[in-house]
Amino acid sequence: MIADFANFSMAEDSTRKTTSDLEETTKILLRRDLELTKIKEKQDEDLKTLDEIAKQLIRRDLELSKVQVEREEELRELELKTKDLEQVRKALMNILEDIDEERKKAESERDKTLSIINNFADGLLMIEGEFLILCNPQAAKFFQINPQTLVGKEISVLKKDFPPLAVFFGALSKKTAPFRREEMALGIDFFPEGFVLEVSMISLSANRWMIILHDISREKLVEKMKTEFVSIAAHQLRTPLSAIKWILSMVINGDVGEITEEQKDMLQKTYQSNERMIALVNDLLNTARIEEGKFINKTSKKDIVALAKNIFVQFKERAVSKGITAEFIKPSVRTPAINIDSEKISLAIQNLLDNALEYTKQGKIVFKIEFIKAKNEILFSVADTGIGISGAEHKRIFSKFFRASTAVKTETEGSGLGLFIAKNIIEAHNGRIWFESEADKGTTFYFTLPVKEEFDTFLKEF
Amino acid sequence: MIKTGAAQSATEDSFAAGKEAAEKAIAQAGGKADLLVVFSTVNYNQEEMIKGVNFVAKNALVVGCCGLRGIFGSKGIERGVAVMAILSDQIHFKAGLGLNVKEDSFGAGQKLAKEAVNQDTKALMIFMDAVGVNGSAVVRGILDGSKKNLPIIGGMASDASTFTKTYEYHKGEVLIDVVVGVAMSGKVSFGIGVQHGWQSVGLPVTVTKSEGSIIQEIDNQPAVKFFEDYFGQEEAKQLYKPLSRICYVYPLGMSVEGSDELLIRIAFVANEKGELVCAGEIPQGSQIRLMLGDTEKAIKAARDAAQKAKEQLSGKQAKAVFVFDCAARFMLLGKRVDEEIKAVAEVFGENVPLVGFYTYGEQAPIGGDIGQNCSSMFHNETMTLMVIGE
Repeated sequence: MIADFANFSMAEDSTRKTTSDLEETTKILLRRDLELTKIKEKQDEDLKTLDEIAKQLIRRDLELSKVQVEREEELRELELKTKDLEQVRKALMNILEDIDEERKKAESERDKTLSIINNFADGLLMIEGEFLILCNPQAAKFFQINPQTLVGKEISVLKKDFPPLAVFFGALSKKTAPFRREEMALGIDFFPEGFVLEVSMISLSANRWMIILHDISREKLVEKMKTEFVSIAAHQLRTPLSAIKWILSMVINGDVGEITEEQKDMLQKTYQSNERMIALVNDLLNTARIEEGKFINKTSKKDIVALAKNIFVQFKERAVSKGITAEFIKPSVRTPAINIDSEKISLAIQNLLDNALEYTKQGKIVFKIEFIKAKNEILFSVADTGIGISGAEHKRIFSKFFRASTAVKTETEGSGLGLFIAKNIIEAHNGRIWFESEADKGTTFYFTLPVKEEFDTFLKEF
Repeated sequence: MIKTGAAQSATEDSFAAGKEAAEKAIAQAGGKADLLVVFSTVNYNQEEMIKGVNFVAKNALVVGCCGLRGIFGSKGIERGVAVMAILSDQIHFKAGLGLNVKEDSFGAGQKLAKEAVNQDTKALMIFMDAVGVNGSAVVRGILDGSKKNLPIIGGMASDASTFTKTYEYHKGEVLIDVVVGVAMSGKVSFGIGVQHGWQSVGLPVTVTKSEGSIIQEIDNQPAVKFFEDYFGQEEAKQLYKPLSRICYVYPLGMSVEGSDELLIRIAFVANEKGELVCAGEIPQGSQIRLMLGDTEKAIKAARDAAQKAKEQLSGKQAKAVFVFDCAARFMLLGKRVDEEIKAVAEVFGENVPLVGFYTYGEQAPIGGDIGQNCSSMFHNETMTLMVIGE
């Protein structure tokens, strides 16, 4: 029993121990569980914190990503701008290259021009404002100076330093407008005798002028010699021809005794040939005078209509004897008297009328004078129904010694000087001369003479 | 024997571009081809372009689709046509077509599989329309009528970021609203690489209510609140506009049973109810996390994908590479976009013909696993590629 008790007691002890152990374990377990729960809670909290942190970081990432996008856009824009700039640079480079090429071209062009200027047979001067900016070697030679010392200097200074230039610019200072090919005699003080320049002055811009100096001294000399020769020859020819004329006329008229009809006929022909010779010599003399520039000399106020009428009357007789009708048409209004060299104007009219008669086989010749009040000029016309002038020859009809092919065929005689003389006479009176013609139909020559009514005559008529 | 060739053309004229690219690719493959895979940028007249391809294709099977950007060699192409030509006596190519893919995505997938896939099919390459199409359903549809572990690779056609009209090419015809597939059977050595390179952040959340590709509630709250928690209410408003920056810079990662890889989903727009409309399905009960990516990791992922595909060739020589890269990655990478393609090209070698395009969604086995456990799915923002070797 005791044993049992002891056993029981032992068992009880054991049970008690077990229970207490269990209690202890439970406590420990409970404590552990609490700890675990705490840890779990802590972990959850940590995770939540981490999640929060993640969310905050994500927001920051979003910001960053936006900045990145912006930056990429900026970069793209920058790239585009860089490309643009690169293109602009290329374009500029191209332009520069072009300019360089142009410059080279311009330089070569300048070199070309310079060599032309330097080797030009004519003298060239260029003036800008008051300064001489160019003088080629030929021009310097004319003035007998070194071109280097001239260029870039003021003209007034040059005039003081170089007398030949003073003479030249002195003559030039009278000119205010551009002109071409005008003769300029420069005297013999600083230039060789007979030195003549043909000067052209061309306006390049508002204050820039180019002056071209062409030495015509030699031409002038040759021309002078030729004219002198013709003049002398003609004079020398005319005197014996006149003598022949008078002697022949005396013989024909029977002043030196009776002659047979046969002899008279032969002498008549000789007389006419002599007349033609005189006319030719006169033409030559007139031409020589024209070229000497001393043709028109005595001018006076003349009633041109009366003068023309007189010429026509004589002309009509000759026309009628040739079987050709001739008509004179006066102006319908009063025509003022004009200042002319009447001898020369008569010659011009005579030449035109003679031509008309010479080259008209049949028909009519009309000489008409009109006063064109609007233009204040008198218009003359000589119309014939003659052989005409072929179109190809129209240009040369007023040239010296030219004869139209139709005229040569019709009439072997003729100096080819008549129209040349007529033209020079009319133009010397500030008139114009021209013609209209068709081969086989006829020709009409026209010329005008200006009327310059003086103020005093205007007053007198009031 | 496998002969391949790849070429591109950026010629202005649509017909000429198609013809030139196809002609050159065929010439490289030795003057003949069984299969021509064509990717054209959308700025070409598609009909004219494919006429150009057909002009030189002879008996080749012509498939492909359009994209907002093509891929050729080691870079992307803004405007151009890229063509891969394959000639082989050991691989058999068979085309399949599923019509009305918008109305019945699952059905169209089933139809395609019925036409093209059989017990001998080793892999299926697909190109599907993007407008209103449930890409996940298409993939499920295809797998419904095939063996469950059929490797599917391909992309959803893309347009000039307008989601209005995409084109698919099937047997030399330009079609819309279809899914086109080309099944490869016979002796096919290939590898598939699938990597996204995104990093998950924050705690996982549960999709408590969803329907198809629309997430209605997350942790019993309106789905959009998930984004509000991260970015604040103001920034989250961006989501109400389609394809806002937030949606492709921070996609969702969805855990998939039997895989450690998270499947990427873009929540490309939020509707008035605060629901998130995704590209691809998200089953109710899925665990999702916010994903964070950076350029370096994206490029590294591309290289890893290529590396993994190459390993699957087990020493065989790479003959042709197809790259289906996500259009969102193109937008994400910005200036560095071509580095990704370059990384892939470097793995296979510059001389291996490579073509592809930027997609509106990729189809590939999850994790690039093509073995017994192969599980093809619809992906977003992922670099997927296939290499065929010999």
